[in-house]
Amino acid sequence: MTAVRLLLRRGLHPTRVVGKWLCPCVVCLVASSVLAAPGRTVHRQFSSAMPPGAIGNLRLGRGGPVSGYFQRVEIRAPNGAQVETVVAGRFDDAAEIVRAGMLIGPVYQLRITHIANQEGSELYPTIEIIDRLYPPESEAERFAIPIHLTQDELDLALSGRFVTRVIYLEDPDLAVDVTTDTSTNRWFDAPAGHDPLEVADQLGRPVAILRIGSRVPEGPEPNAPFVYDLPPVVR
Amino acid sequence: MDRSQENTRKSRGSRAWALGLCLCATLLICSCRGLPTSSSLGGASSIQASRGSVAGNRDTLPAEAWSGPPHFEGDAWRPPGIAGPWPRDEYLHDGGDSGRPAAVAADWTVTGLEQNDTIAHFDTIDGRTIVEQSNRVYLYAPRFGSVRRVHGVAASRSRDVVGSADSELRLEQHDDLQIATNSHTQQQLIGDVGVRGSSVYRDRLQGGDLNSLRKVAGMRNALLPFEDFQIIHAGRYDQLEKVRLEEAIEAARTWSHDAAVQIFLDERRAITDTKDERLQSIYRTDEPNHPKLRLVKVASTESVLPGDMVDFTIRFDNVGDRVIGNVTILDNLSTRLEFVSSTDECSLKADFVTEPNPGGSLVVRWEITDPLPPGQGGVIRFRCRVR
Repeated sequence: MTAVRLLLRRGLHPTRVVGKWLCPCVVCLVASSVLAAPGRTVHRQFSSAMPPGAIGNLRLGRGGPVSGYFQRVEIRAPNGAQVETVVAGRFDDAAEIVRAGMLIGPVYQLRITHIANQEGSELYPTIEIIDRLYPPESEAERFAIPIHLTQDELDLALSGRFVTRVIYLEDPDLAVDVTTDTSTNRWFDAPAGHDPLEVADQLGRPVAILRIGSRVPEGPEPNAPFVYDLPPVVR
Repeated sequence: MDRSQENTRKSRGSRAWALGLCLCATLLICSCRGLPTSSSLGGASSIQASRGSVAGNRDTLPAEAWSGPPHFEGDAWRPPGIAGPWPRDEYLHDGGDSGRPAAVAADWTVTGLEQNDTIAHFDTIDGRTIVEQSNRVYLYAPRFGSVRRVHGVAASRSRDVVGSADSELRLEQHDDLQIATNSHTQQQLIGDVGVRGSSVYRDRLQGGDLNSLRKVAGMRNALLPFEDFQIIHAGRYDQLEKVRLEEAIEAARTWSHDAAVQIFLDERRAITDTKDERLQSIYRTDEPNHPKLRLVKVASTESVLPGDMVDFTIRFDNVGDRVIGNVTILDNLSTRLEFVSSTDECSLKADFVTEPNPGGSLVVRWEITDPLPPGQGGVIRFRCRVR
């Protein structure tokens, strides 16, 4: 305003004032375009410490063909441990490898039994699917999200720790030259001061969150709140 | 007195005008910050916008504006206006010449050969060095990693304290989840039935392809089913194969080039330029000189898991009208492709060299020993393990 007033006092024609204003406007336009340029989809406003189900629900709110899609998941337990899912209101169908289709958003409660060197102990991890894959037609079963538990994680959880693991789809341009196979899920610890979700988002696209060491059922059979109201599963 | 009132009126008018100008500029800047987000996100954001503005008016929306239950019929879903393969982070690609264009320096150093590039360079009779690129091959190969955080004793203690309150807090979450998850189960089951049917159909197709094996001179094995292209068999480009070969956007730039048509002039031909303006006639002979190398790359599969093997076949042909020499074919492999040693084959006599690339993989290189006459070509095969 001050600049405009000075220009007017000097008797400049309004068109010249427009010219004086046009330059900063163009600069601002260019700067704002650069600042508002599309970047990678990040989860800075989210944290892996958010309540189970919160991130998945927010993902549903962002739209896209995610609502109602059953993402195939492969859950694998180590050293003979058994994974049980909730069937008809109770934990059942124990298996070392469980393949199932899970919805994006809800939280799925599991039970791990027959843990090596910890006979009689049980763990109740949860899985939250927060994004999906887009495999070629008829390949959805083959390309499931691998959620492979490790003995180390089970031991940590049984010793009172709480383990949060964010599974992400690796960006091919940021791939590391390590040989992998389908039986193990590569993992590493988040650096100190960094949230796992944030780190995963920098390396690719987070698709699932595994939490181990959370609450245990109060009675012999899990009630509906404990199993997050039994979200549907497709086998 | 009148002059001072007039000046005051002019001053007020100028201030109002300047104020209006500032307001317009501010609005313009604010609106500009909002635009790139919607345009950059393309179809996805437009879907969001449509949903938010006309919620409850679903029937009037176009089909692509509603992102509710996905449709599983036909091809896999992708955002409107975006060509496949999509999404990019679920695919590996190999071939083409991305980034800075590849070039050959005077000391034979190849520059601009980024990872995933597949190119060939050759020398012409008139001393030029020309670089050609292959088409791009896509493999569906998602790979996963995970980041872990272990909360220590302090976190565990706090969990015990709030243990009784946890149930109440999470009950609110469950109400939301029930609403979002109940109504789509049946549609997914229909999708699964379709998936099984199409897998059976693929098996039959493979059997048919196996019946039509043909051999290429100089290769140890018969042509593989995934190499069932006329362009691989005999170096002839069939228009019907374009759809299969051109699944990638960048595919086959070389064979659609205008210069490729001219290569079928197989003889030197004198073009007579007769001018009768003078007593004598002038005869001019244009010697054809359009060296061209065509590079076609195919893969044995379209989807792979970590640990799987994938075979690559590169067919190269001199589709120009002059002999070319020092034909060198280079493939800078992706980090996730590990070259399997001793699997390289070439139907022509060639020197095979590998060297490590910065991504932890290899640059594989075939140097064809003999010059390549017009109409002649060869086939290269090699195998990679997917990391």
